Amino acid sequence: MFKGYLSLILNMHLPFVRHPENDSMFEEKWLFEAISESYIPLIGVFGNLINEKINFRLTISMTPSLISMLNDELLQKRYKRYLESMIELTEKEVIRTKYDIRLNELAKFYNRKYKEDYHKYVGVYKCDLIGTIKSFQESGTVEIIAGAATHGFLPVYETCPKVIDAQVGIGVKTFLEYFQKNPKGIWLPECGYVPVIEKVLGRYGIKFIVIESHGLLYANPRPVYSLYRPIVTPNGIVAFGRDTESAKEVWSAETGYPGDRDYRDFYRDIGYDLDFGYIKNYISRDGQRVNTGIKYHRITGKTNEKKLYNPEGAVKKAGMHATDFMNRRIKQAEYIFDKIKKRPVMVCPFDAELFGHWWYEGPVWLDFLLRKLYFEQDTIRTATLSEYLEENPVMQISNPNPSSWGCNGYSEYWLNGSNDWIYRHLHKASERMTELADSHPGSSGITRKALNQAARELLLAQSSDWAFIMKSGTMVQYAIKRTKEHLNNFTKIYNSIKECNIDESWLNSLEQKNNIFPKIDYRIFSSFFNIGNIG
Amino acid sequence: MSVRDNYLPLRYNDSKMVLIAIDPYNIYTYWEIKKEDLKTHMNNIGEDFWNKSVPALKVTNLSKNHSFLININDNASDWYIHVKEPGSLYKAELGRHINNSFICVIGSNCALTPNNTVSKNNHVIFADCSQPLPQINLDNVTYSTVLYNFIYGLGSSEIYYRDSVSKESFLIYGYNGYSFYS
Repeated sequence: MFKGYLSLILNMHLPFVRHPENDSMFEEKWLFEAISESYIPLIGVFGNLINEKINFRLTISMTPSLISMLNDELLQKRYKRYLESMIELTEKEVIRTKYDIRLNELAKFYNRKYKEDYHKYVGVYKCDLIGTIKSFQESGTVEIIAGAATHGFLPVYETCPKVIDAQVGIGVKTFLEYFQKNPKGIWLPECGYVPVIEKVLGRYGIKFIVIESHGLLYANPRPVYSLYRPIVTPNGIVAFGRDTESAKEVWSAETGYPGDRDYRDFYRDIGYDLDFGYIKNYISRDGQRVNTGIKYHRITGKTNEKKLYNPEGAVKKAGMHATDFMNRRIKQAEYIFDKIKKRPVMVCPFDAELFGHWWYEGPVWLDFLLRKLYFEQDTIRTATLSEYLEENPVMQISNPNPSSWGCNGYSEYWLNGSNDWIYRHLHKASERMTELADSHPGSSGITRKALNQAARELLLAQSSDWAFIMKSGTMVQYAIKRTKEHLNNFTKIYNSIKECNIDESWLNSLEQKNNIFPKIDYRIFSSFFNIGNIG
Repeated sequence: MSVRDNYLPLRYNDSKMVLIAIDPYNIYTYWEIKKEDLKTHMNNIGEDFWNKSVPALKVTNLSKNHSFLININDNASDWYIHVKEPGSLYKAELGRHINNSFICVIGSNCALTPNNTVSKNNHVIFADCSQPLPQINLDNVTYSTVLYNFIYGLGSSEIYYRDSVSKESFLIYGYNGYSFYS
């Protein structure tokens, strides 16, 4: 008997890390690794399920910064070069490990993997991952929802409503440009919710959002169905709450599936293990040892003593974990259905990069899960969030609680002693952008180019990733550099527009470097902006 | 880009104070006062008072109508404020404090701290989202406004009102008499 819905959501996001000025910028590898380890495997899983006519539903959110990078010719070219380099490295590895059968099998495993990636990316997907994901939407199995322009953490911009307008508005426009339809939902960066966001969402026709569990549990009035049915705000925005129970099983590094001893160990990598002379061409140009992606060991235990990775054993374990996850959701649905006499919806959002990049077996787990849900039971049904709403339009009216899915559930991770200094500057730049947009309701030529680039620089500075990295403590200098660089670029443009002294050659080079949102219209920051003004 | 190029100004020659809620118990504020504005305030307040007083933050809980003072120092340009009431609207002022006197120099925007527990508000209203929602302020919902707004305001939408979630049996009012709990 059908007793509940399971809504799986994958949030695809990476900050804009395009560096045309540097031929081997380490941070571009974030994108390349995500493509090879997460996006291509996930696309493969969904494509196979659709071809085999296995009925499933899934929601994917894609941020415009990621869309811009996936669609960028330079980065596409560099990704192919990355794959060539990985094929070269793994071929060397096949030779190096020839006297150790088990290690040699692993080297061949990676060699096959990168060759397949190259074949799929170039030969099958024609370098167009967005188009491939779009085709899933057209098949009706996957719903794609929008993301905020550069993943700005919106609660810290309550005093700058135009920032929220621009982050949401550009997110919706980018979606429309690539997917040729209006998004019904939007992924709020880090699930960061404050009430002021709602009116902006309504203006762009957004129907639903996903919030952290206590954003729903502490809503006012009290939600009758706890986490298990969405609420609608008085502004007409539906808020789904993240299911805490299923989140723990997948997210937790200690008690969740990804920490299992049979899964591949993320941290043990030949970039650290092998002789410098041998590996130097595949790590950072400055000689700093970094992950290469070739990892021969499994988690094994908490010590540094690691056993060799066994791909077949890991796949078997992924199947067991998928069965466990499915059974737990069935029990959960039955229990809640029995209590509330209504079908609950269990909303399970995850970062897409968890699947494959951090948890190597994640895509296989998802493949098992979707197959098992289809073949082995009829108690729960996967549903996209739109589909759920179509079938269940009646819901409680309530105001969600401000919240995020970050550490401790609010804004602490993005606003603390390690990163608070950025907000004085980000807020000031936002005010200045609105000042520029208000004083230039119509512009052309070089001034228009400058105004649009100012908007790009400001949006890039607002990416929540920089504050996150400053707090997390890895790659901090890069995050600081990016924040300052975009703010300084913005200020230089602001001053040059005010002084009618725009350096055209510098502006052109900046426009080529930070080429995100080629069709941006700076007037989205204007106090007088309304959606109809901009095409 | 050189280190020089990466320099960000310490001040923008602005007078403003910004307040941001971090979580149910913490808010963050930063501020800046233009030199000219500072001089004007010093003149208005009087040099004697200014020199004898200390800089302070006055934090007001507008929801519960009470405030407290935090003495700070002249070098500070931001502050983390611990507050005791989640779900409250706060405002901060920067000023000078001596004995029981506080003179405001600059005030902030208002910031709402999140709740940290389930709401005590049990006025439960359901709406059919396939139709436009009526205007409603949930803070002012009472038995009669629910009936008025939804039965008369929403046409044929199915709207339900539940009196209290703490009761075993529910009072249900609907436009078409439909019972939500069968």
